[in-house]
Amino acid sequence: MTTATNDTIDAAARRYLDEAAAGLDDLPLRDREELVSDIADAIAESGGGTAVDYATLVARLGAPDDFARELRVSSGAAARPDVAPAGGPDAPGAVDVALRAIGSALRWAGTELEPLWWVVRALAVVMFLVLLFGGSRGDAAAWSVLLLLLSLAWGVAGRVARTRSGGRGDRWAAPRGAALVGLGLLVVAGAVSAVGTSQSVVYEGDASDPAAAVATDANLHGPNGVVSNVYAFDADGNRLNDVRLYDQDGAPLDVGASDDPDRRRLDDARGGQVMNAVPIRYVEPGTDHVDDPDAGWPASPGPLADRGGASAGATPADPSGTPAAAGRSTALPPTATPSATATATPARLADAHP
Amino acid sequence: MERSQLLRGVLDVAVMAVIAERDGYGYDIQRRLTEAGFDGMGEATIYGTLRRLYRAGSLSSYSQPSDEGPHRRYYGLTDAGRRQLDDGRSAWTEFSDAVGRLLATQDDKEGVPA
Repeated sequence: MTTATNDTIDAAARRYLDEAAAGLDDLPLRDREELVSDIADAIAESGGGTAVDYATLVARLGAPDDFARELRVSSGAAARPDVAPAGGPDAPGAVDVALRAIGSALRWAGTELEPLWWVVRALAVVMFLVLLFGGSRGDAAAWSVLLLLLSLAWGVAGRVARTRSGGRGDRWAAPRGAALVGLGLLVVAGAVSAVGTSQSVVYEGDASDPAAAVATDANLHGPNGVVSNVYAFDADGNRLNDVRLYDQDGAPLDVGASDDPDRRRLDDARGGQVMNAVPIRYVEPGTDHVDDPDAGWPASPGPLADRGGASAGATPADPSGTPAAAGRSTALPPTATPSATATATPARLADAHP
Repeated sequence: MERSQLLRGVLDVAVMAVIAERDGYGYDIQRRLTEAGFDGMGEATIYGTLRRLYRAGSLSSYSQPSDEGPHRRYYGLTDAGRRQLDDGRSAWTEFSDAVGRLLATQDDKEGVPA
């Protein structure tokens, strides 16, 4: 008997197992997995817990291909065809080979890539924490929790399977591999989504001149996700129409999509479409007439308790909420600029459809 | 005729008879068959037979921890397996008696002086 290191026995056993399993390649997947697990049993049990090298395994069990052939016969599995089936190795054969290759790859992923499960768990935890503190995507956070629980469950399942089989044939290796690949894709998608969320407002233009910067993909986010419209009230609780929004650097905060054909178009003095004027109003298709001027408006919050004279300069744009009734925008006076700290007062809005 | 070839005809019953004594795993069952006088049966034959009987519902299977390494796959007889063993035992007894009588008669003939 030859004494070997654990690495040697592992390598010898793996070599013998692989060579014998190659003789079963033509069997249906389930039959093949069962017989491969039997070969693994024979290797483990014949050693009696003693490390042996490859030559000793061959001396005890016979040549790997002989073992596979006898196992196939005695188990009643179909004999290996000596000739290719009618029609030759054409499309069906290629599909069969491809499916077996995928199955082998998934089994490999389920066993050899076990450490990746910890990476998946770590990513799930990181995603959860980022989204938790970001506080903007509750559903994404829930997905993170789900990912974490799923990966933990599969990890436990893998450990139980290994314990029960003693590292031998594991029929759940392929499903675990498939789940690992799927979870990996989900995590990547979630990470991309999280990054996209954190960079939802992107500025283009001269960084040294923020006022000239234009916010693109400026999806505002609120507790219910992306903000699709904004409704403003003045200190007295009156509705404000065509309020233009800017950030702390004076860059316009665009709301909604510019290519919405039913969105009432507002232009600046140069004829460019204004995207940061809210609330967005919608016209009847093919007309300039606002479909429903009251649509979307929440109930007025009422006047503020203590105005302290701070809003003396603010002028309600149109308390009646009717500026769009004629399909025209009501230009705001400059004093109604919503941002008192904006570097420049926006020019009056021009109507795109005079 | 080699012993292993003779055994092949009754391999299923022999394996089930060994397991009827007590549950066992592949290598253990092969060793007990060898000790019973049926040597020459390779591991592949035994493991394949166990797999076939298990698929047929004659055997049950479970894992047991081992002091020498990984868990072992033990096999036990199911009720169907016990019935199959009883039938096989009866069939073998009848068959062996017939063969015994036949061979004994031939021996007697060979022993009779011409």
